[in-house]
Amino acid sequence: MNQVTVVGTEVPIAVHASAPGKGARLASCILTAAGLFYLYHASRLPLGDPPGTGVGAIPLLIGICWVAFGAYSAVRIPKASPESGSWRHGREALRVPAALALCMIFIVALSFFGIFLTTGVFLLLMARLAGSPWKSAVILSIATPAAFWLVFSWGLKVSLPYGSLVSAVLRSR
Amino acid sequence: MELLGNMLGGFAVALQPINIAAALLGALVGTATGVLPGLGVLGAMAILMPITIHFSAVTGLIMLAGIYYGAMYGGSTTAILLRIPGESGSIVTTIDGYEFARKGRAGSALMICAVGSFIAGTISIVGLSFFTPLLADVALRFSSPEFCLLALLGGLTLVRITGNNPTQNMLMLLVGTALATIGVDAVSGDTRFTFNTGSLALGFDLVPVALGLYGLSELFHVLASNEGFPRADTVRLRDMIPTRSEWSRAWPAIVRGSGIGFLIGLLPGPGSLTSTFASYGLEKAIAGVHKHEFGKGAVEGFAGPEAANNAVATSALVPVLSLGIPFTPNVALMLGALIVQGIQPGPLLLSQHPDVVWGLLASMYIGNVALLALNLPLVGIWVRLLRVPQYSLIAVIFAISFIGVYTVRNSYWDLCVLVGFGVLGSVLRQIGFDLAPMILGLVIGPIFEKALRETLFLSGGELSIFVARPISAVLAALCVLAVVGPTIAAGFRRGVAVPQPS
Repeated sequence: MNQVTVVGTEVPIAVHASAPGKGARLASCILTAAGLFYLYHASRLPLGDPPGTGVGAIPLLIGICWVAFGAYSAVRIPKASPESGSWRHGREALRVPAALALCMIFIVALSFFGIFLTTGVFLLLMARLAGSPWKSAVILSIATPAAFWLVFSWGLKVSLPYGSLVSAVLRSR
Repeated sequence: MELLGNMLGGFAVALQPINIAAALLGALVGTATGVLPGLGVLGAMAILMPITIHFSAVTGLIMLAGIYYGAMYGGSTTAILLRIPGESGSIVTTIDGYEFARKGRAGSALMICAVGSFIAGTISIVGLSFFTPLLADVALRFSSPEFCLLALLGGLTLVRITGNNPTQNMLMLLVGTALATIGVDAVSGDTRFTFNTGSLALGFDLVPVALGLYGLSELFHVLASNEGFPRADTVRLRDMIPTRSEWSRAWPAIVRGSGIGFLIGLLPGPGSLTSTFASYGLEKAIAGVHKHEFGKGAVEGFAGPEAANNAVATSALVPVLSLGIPFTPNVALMLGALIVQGIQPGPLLLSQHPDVVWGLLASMYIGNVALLALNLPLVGIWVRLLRVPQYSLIAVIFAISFIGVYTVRNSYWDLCVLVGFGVLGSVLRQIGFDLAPMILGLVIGPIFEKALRETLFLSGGELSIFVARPISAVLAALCVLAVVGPTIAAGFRRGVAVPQPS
């Protein structure tokens, strides 16, 4: 995705100018470790006869290259990429873990409360997190699930999950 | 004559109401994506991809293609009015387009870009209509070694050209390729790296991975920054008529840009940005008396590059439609959409699914005309789109992403993959890793693996088969050139550089 320079910023943002090279080195180390794990499991798969035709041949090749490039990337000093940015901290930075928590709650709640209730609550909280006034957030949380029903259920004839709790309540009636 | 018959068949498909609606919707979403800073074309394609799966293959492909070329149209609007490139292909437009707008000629610049985009799109579609069958005929002579090397060439070129760190790019390509090996092996039917779990046996679907890496990670970034969209003044329709002198300078640049863009789109690697810089360089080199205007609002400085990036969006489809090998992540997503629909891309696509290929080509004519008709009168509305509150877009895109991914396979696992790759993408982008090679690796990985194993089976494990056949030998040489070429070129440039006095 393209990084764009946005002018006219309304809110001054606190940023922590950490060296991107440090993070890249750490990420390369973690990726190399993941590559070693992948390589270990790839080495246990058959290489085939003639060699290279088996289920494990290409993963072995990928694993070796992965570890080699990962290690090289971790050892050499990475240059700062134009795409790399500064880590934000303060209130803005807390929005990301909060959004992540909302996403995980969405996944768990979907099977119980179904698509409409879960999406409505999710939209309300996410819009508030993104800085929406209460009134707009409430309108959004009601209108959007209705629009989704129109597009997916009615328009595309896709079966959406109604949730075990909602289904149980409906059945009991 | 055969071409005309095929094209008429394509129009019969493209003119079906559902396909016209798909082309229009795709073009509108694409334009909106181009106008709104932040959300890129790949993110928009990834977000709409789960929805396209509920339509037929040709309808889905028409919609995705519409987003792709629509974004190229829309990207110029904010580049000219606000000096913000909505797309990477519009970066060059910010130089002279914005300066031209500052002279009070914003409307004229928008008109030149829109007409230039239309001309470039049309020239490129005509080229695409001729080149795709030709290349598909040639590709019928290709066998496993050639396809293996083509996939490798696509990956290596992207690794060497994008970003400024080929090692990290290679790492990302390998991670993407490794992800593609998880699950059921397409050749033997055996399972790999599943650890006896049903979820991993299904493998990593392209939709949640691409949407996580490009859609969700961008949303996390926007949420943290909360910068809001900038405001632009609206442009009146009557201010959009260029003068005779502006037109006479613009149209040759548009034609040259279209040619450059079309040719660069055929090559492996990210063509959009490359073609705009190539076009800008050419226009500056041949500018003559207007050379001093470059950087200060030269008409050629934005007319040529805008035409080039629109031509690339179309011609980049030639390799994928004729060979089944994507060279860019955008086209890889379109290929992924075909595979999800059960259509195997490759040289036989044209003969086995002519409705898909010719229907797509015909829809692009319709889409281009629609974009011209919609963009010029509605430029005020596109500018007003920047006034939509960012919070509502963030929340709605989050929700669409979740519902879209869930409806593809009714899988909670895919939702976890979506969020996981959203976080991974967010972190990797923040520390400077380019994610495009990972997406390409996920798509071309299975093509590469299948072709390599078939090749080794045919040759009895002998690697010399790659250089024993003429076409594969040329492709092998190109792969070597893709790896060492940039290094040699850089060394050559250093060697011939004249030391500057300090």
